[in-house]
Amino acid sequence: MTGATLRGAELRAAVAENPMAGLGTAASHRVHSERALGFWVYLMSDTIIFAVLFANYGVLTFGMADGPTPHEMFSLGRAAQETALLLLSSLTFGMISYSALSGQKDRALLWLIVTMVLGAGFLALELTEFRELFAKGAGPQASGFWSGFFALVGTHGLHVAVGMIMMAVMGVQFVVKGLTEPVLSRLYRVGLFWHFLDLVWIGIFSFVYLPGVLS
Amino acid sequence: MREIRRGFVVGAILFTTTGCSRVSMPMLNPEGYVGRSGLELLVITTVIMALVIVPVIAGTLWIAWRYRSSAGRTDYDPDFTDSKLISGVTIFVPLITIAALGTMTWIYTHRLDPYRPLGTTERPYEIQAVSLDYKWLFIYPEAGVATINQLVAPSGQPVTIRITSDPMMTSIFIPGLINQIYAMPGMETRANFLADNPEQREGANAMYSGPGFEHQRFITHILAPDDFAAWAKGAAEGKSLEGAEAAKVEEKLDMAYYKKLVVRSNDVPITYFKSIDADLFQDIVRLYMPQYQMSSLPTGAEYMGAN
Amino acid sequence: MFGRLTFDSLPFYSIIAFGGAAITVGVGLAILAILTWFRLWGWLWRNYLTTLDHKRIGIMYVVVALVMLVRGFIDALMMRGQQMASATGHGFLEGDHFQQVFSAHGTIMIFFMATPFMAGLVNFVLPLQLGARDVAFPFLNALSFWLTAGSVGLVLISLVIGVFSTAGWVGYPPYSGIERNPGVGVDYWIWALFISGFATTMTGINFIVTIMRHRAPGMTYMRMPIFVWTVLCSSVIILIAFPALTVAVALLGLDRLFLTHFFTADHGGNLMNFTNMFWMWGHPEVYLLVLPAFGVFSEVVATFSGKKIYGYSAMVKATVLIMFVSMLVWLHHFFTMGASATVNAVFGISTMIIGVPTGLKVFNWMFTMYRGRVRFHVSMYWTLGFMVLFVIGGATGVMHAIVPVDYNTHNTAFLVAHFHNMLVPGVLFGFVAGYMYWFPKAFGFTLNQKWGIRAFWGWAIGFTLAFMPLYALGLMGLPRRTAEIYNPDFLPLLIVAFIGALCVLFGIVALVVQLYVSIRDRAQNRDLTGDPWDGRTLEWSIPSPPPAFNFARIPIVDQIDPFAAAKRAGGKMQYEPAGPVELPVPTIVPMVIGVSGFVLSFAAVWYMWWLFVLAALVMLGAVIGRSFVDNNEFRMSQREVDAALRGSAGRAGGVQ
Repeated sequence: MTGATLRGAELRAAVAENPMAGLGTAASHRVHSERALGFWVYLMSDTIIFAVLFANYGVLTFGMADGPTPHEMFSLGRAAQETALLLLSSLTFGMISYSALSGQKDRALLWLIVTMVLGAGFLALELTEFRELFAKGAGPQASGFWSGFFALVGTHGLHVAVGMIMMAVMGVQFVVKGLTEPVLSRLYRVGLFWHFLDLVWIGIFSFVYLPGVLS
Repeated sequence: MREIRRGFVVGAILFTTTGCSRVSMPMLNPEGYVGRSGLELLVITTVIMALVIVPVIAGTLWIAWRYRSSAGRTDYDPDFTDSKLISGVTIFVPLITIAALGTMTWIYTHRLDPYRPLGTTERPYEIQAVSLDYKWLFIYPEAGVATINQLVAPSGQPVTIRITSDPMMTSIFIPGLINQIYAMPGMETRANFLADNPEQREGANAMYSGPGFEHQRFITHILAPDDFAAWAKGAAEGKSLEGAEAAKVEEKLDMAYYKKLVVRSNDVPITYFKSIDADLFQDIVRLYMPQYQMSSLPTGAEYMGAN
Repeated sequence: MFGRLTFDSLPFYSIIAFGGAAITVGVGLAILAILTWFRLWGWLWRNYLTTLDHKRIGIMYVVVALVMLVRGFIDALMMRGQQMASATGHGFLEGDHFQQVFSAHGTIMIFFMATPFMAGLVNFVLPLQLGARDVAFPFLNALSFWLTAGSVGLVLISLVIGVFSTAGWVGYPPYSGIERNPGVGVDYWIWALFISGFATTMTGINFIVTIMRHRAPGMTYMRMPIFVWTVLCSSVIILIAFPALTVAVALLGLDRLFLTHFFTADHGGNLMNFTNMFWMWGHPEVYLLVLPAFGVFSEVVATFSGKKIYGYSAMVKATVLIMFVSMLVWLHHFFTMGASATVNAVFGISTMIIGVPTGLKVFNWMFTMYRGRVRFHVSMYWTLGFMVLFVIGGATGVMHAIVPVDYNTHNTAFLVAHFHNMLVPGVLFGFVAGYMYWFPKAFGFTLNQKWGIRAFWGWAIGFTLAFMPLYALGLMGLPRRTAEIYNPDFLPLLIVAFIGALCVLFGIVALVVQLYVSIRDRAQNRDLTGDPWDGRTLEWSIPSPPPAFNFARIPIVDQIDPFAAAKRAGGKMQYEPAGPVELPVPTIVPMVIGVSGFVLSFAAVWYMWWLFVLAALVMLGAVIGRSFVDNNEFRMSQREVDAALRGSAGRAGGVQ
């Protein structure tokens, strides 16, 4: 992991591409940027998973059959709260990255906890919603439509849960390893993942909840 | 290698043209407009593709042989990697072939659209087909009768088959007479044909839908218009087709009887129903799709739209 | 405790099924015994089970593929035999055994033969052609392999415990639904596809990043070997297509497990959705297999013609075009589902458009030989056989794209003949050509030519005899997957097809004999130069077998086929100054995760949920534990590097 330390124009170019590069060496920068690229490519594949699930949901909106309609079941208020929590958590994740990059471990840890609390709040709201839907007879077995709904929103929720595990691991690594370069590199990818889930959620809010309530 | 394949191809052609009856090579002995168009297209495309691939196969082997290293040719040129003429030809030949075939595809696909009734003035004769595990149920709403594993239809008149299935996804296919199309539960698909002459032809479920699906076959009997009218009248009295008699004649096909029929069974003998419940086909589709509404035939194509 | 697993799940219901199980278990035990007898466990552990070396992982992939080729071929032989025998009686396969056999044949050949064969060849060759020391993510690479191996294990164990799916390799609902298929067969199929699909996606990501970031200095995109280009396009297809399969089988699994209504016929489900999703993956899948095979042919033709590939940039553009269009044609697998004429026609025409770049490629291979010096190495036999047979498959493919022709040939033996005509000469011939071409690079000695050529004739003649009759049978109206032939007119052609299958059997035996003879005579066939075929690309510029780090110094590239150019100029390759050589530290974690993946899916198939949770926790723990490893590379000293280089050059020919 050693090698020539970046200097001058090379450093500026590397920093322009990725702010974390400045911390390390040419070799470690290469490793970091490769992993970041790989993670981007992975996110593209994940995007397609969600695209297929969105398309599936779109087709199954014609499959209400005799099940309940989304109009009677969706609560825009709660969806808005979920949106607020998730968007806010993206902001606080930005604060983690900022504090971590400027070497403030305690603040990074604090923001990490705030982000996880927000994420947990999101999951709690979502689970409450799911429980209510089940109770009102709008579970995934109710009709094709509800299967499609739970597949899409549930997959997103599962991703959020995985993101929470990732953040917990990051928290442990902050404490155990400190803000070392590999840790920061991992934090960068967890951040990509977390912001990506925000984007997907915005899609869900606009294409599932809004039309569902307005229909 | 070449000899073997050539010998085989010649053998296959001889086999198919001389040794084969109408029954064993139905596609090459089509009946009616739909079947004939299918054969026509098959022959045209085979010829066009042969015009392209035979020279390519020959050229490949010829070039490989001609430029074998042991031949010691002096025109070896490791830098020959580009030639405007060759590149032009190699782009142009596939392009023109595909353009021709693509145009044909566009025209024929619309002409043979399964939702498009054949014949412009005459109202097609309607037959309803239900694919069951593993038998075919045919309902003749006009005559008020139904048959199992036997399809009887008139010649000289366009015929539309409305198709559904319960509960598997299958595919109705009468090679040389109708184009293959899926039969799906809760949905209606269509097939059209117009046979010119009376004849018999095998039909089947061509799509695997479980062990035993190959038993889901039937014989299509095309009758002259008068004979068909007589048959329809006779069927209502329990009289079946001469030479292909029904093994069983039942009184009425209604939902209650249908529920017994839908149970999986193989090698069901030809069965006639003297009368039917008029809405049975619609009710079968509605088992899966409660809001289904039967369309009237001439607007069928518009109703079904893009599926 | 054992979910729905009982003693009745063992295959005592049929002699043939029991025989298959016995052979599977017997071969497994024999391998374990051999490993123990020759005290090879340590060797296996050090060199293969824990390795992160792309070359060894590639070799393991190919071994898996060849084993599964034999397994899948036995299925094929049984199908040919059953159809032939049933034309005059009932055949010898009872119950739903025939249906299990054809479902297993399709699943195995696509997912566990062709895909691992591709992954194996690419793994071995890609970094060597790029001038790289390894793929971008060696750990992920090993993980992909072991998950693939886990899903292979799942398919194999289905032969012994329980049954395999009878729903065909496409598994259309509602037949694959829980009501009609309550057993474990479809679940085996779902989980095998799910796990191997995940593994393949990871492989695709790995290859993309490797190509983008690990090219030798000076190797611009337009100086990459054609093989690398095809791998890049193939990986992009993996990335885009596989999610559709993952979603399709996952939702089908939910339908089966939780009685949801994604693909049910009633309660608003949509079974046509499965068909769409499956083929959104399924069609690109054949292109992601055939493109690397095209890449192999391009390398072989150029090398054995002693010329650069004709029309390099046209080849690249054709590959990229095929990549794009391959994702826009899936509907042609179900023209008969009743879409409107316009939709059908558009997809028919887009399918034909693929014929243009593919035709161009065939012409370019032809003109690569033109004014060349063609040497008839055995790889060249496979290539020429491919060019001759593949265009026939291409022609019938274009015929299928004409919608009304497809109405008449869909679901018949004609279709079966067509796609085997693409996949056997197209994909398999390509991979076998690659196997024979790169074998000396992997092991340091060449494969026996005579037996290779015999294998080729077995395959080529066998293929022709086995599948040309199927074209005719299709036109005679024989539906595919027919277990009992009802029309005695079909018998003569079925006999011919069976004879063809026997010829292919000879081809497979010849492949085995070739391997045996070559290992026996390896002393005479050593490749001491590292360049047995007068090669053109970077992999031939290093010793055979290559040292663990591939390149002691990273080569500098200034054109296409840099090694050939250097040889022609009579000079040496240009290299970067010697730098540190760092290699990934071997680890058992990928294998642990792969085995856990196997246990997890086995538990899910049999509803042993405690075991499922346990395996999931092991996987999660392994991944989290791994995330704490910061530096997984060790640095070789210059002395070690020199020693490895001397070892490679001097001791070429070891079977390791």
